[in-house]
Amino acid sequence: MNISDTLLLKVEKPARYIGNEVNAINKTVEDIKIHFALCFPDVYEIGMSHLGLQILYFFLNRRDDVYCERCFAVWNDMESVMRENKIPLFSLETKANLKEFDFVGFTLQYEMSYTNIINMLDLAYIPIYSCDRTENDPIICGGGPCTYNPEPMAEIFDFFYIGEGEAALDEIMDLYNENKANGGTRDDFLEMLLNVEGVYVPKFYDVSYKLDGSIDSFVPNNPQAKTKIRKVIAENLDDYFFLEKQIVPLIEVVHDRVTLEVFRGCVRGCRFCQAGYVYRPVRERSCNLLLEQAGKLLDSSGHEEISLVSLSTGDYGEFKPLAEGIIDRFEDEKVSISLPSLRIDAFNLELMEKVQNVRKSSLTFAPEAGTQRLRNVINKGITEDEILTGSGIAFAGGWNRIKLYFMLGLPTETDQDLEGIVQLSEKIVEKYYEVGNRKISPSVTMSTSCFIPKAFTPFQWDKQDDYETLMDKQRLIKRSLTKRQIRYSYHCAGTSVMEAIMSRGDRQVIRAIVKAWGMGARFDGWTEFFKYDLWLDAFEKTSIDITKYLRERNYDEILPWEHIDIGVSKEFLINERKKAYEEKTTSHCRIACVGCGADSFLGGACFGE
Amino acid sequence: MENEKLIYRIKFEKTGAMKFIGHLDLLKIFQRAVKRSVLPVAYSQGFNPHQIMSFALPLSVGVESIGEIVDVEFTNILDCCDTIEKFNLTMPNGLKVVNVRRLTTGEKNAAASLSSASYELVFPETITKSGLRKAIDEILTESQIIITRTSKKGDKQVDVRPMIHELTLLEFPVAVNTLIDTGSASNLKADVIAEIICEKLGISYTPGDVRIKRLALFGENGSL
Repeated sequence: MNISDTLLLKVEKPARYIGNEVNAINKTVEDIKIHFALCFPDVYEIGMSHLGLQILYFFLNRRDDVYCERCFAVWNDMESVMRENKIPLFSLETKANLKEFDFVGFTLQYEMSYTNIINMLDLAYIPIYSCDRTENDPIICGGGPCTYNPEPMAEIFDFFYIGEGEAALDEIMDLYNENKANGGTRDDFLEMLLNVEGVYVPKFYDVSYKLDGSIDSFVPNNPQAKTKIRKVIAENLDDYFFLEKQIVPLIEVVHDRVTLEVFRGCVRGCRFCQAGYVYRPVRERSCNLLLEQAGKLLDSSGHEEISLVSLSTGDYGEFKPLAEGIIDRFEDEKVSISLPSLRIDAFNLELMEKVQNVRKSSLTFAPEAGTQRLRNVINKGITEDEILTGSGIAFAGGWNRIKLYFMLGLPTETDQDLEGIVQLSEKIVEKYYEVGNRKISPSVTMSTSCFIPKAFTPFQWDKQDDYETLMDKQRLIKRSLTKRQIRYSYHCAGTSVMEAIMSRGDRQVIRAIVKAWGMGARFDGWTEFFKYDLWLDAFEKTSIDITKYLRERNYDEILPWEHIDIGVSKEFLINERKKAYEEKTTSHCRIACVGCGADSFLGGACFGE
Repeated sequence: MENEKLIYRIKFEKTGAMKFIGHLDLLKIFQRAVKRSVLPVAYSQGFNPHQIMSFALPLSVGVESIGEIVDVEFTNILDCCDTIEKFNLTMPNGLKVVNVRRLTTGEKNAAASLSSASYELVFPETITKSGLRKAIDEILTESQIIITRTSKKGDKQVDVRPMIHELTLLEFPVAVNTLIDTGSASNLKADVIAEIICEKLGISYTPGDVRIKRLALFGENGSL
């Protein structure tokens, strides 16, 4: 495949499609056995900012028999050029047609990228539905956070991989080789996968529905298919593959820096947060190893910034020695450190001042709810006092910009909670005038997103607000706002409603997704592309009632994702939900084990003895 | 001469897929290459230190070059051969350092000395050699060539004929070489020449159909 300069010069950013980056892997296709296309269903600059993609790329390419290449969703200008000129979707490294690969693997990061997945398959001339593929097509697989409820995409994918790539991808590659050597078919291979922990092959399960649309039964149709598919994890991160290089993009991407993954999982237990449950148990990398890895990543990339990431980096057990170790080692090399998800206290502020050689940027708090009562319901362990003290220290230290994140539509929410959002923001402004520099005025950005009940959280049974309700809540907040120092920004309610339908959807939802794609839906996560009316139309045309997916669920009904096992028990989630409604909090894992069940992966306690 | 700065002129090629990389991204690519190769680069003083690096002239996206220039300041004396090797070990395909030399005392930086540049324009195979010869001859006999330049201040009519110094037909492939004004005093872009030739040929100009390659950058005293 060779796309001409003339065609590339017709698109806005041709460099998105050329590959050729520093540290990208070159292999000869004739020398390998398995050709794997790692696909990210969003634009290059987003996909290249994603750590998981970099990990899987180097993990697969460390094998001599595998060549893993990348492919991203093409922007709409490129899609037009490709469709007009009948150019099939190609990989970045060798510009090979995706259809010629052995595997095409997608990461499912976000429900609103589902139409991009369909579009990428279609641009590659690969049949969209699994049942229509033949021996001439690649195996289509998916992984990532959305596979904890894979059902809306079940008819598209040949198999899903539930869990962390390091755990079982090698086994899958070996089985593929074995099957190929034996002259086996696609179906032979998919059957072999039934014995691999963490693999879910949707075609080997049948679903039937009740008259009200809920699930009547979900049963294997193959004797080897397990009734429960348990996720797989890397138990001890120090023992597994770790990234020593990252691909350095040639153009500016969203996160233009190297990323150091400090730990996986989260101790906090915020009841709305899917990542907080599905990535349990918490597993930390040791500080020494991280310092060594940081050096290798920076030396091999030439990046001027390193980001310490996890779900809550301040909770890392050896946070202080790690941060100081990195400062010591790289201060002279003009490397700055980015510390997302840090709690704002005196030590952290001092640290931030030290590591960021840029001027004081804005600080972020995520109270998520406007009142202490509702913060207890969602188990967000931050108090008003902590927020006001933290911002006070920051204002006194010269900061004047604060960002605040809240959610609308949380379970048990009342108008008082919504007004609380405004009141808390106003108290922060008042705090500034008490302690901050009076010559400069403060700027507080108050932003609200819409709560979406997600699979495997205590709120997975809760209702989702509909479009009108969310719009009313946004209006109520706008009305209550009086201070001019506060800027209000809010997420699109329509996007949230559609995301909610897909995140708790069953196998029927795919008809609406494919219909929406056929009607032109692409990049639905981008405000400038998302069309709410188009989506409503797609659901109507496929006779799918969206209220069915927004309603509250019963404990005894079969949830679409119940055949997946994340290690956290259903009893624990039910108990957490009860406590939520009683406004009782649950302590974080370091203080005391809360008995969620995820320690079963480790064969012992997550922390200490 | 204790205070004398150690500025090195790095000559490099930008070819193949790298022609799609814009100027700001190229700057980042060079900065990171310098960091990876652990060369003793000099940083600016101040709150937000950056490598002291200055390119002669941005190259349009879609244009290749075998004669690009960047001046970089270092803190130690470099071995030029070793520096070429270090750069080329870490550069992406399509970026290649071909020469490194230290600027002599008082030598102006590349951007300030620049006055003209030579280019090669390769035309599509549908164009005949005789057609191209005719087009060139016509251009060279014109006393003036007026084009419209659009800027923030509005459209402006400019005679570009005096900016064209050489225009010659190559034997193979169907291509021309040209030497044109380049730099802050008077500047003509190569794609304008391509467009003028296409107009004479009676075809419409589409970027990419004419393959443009910058060959060298010149100052008043010859090649930079």
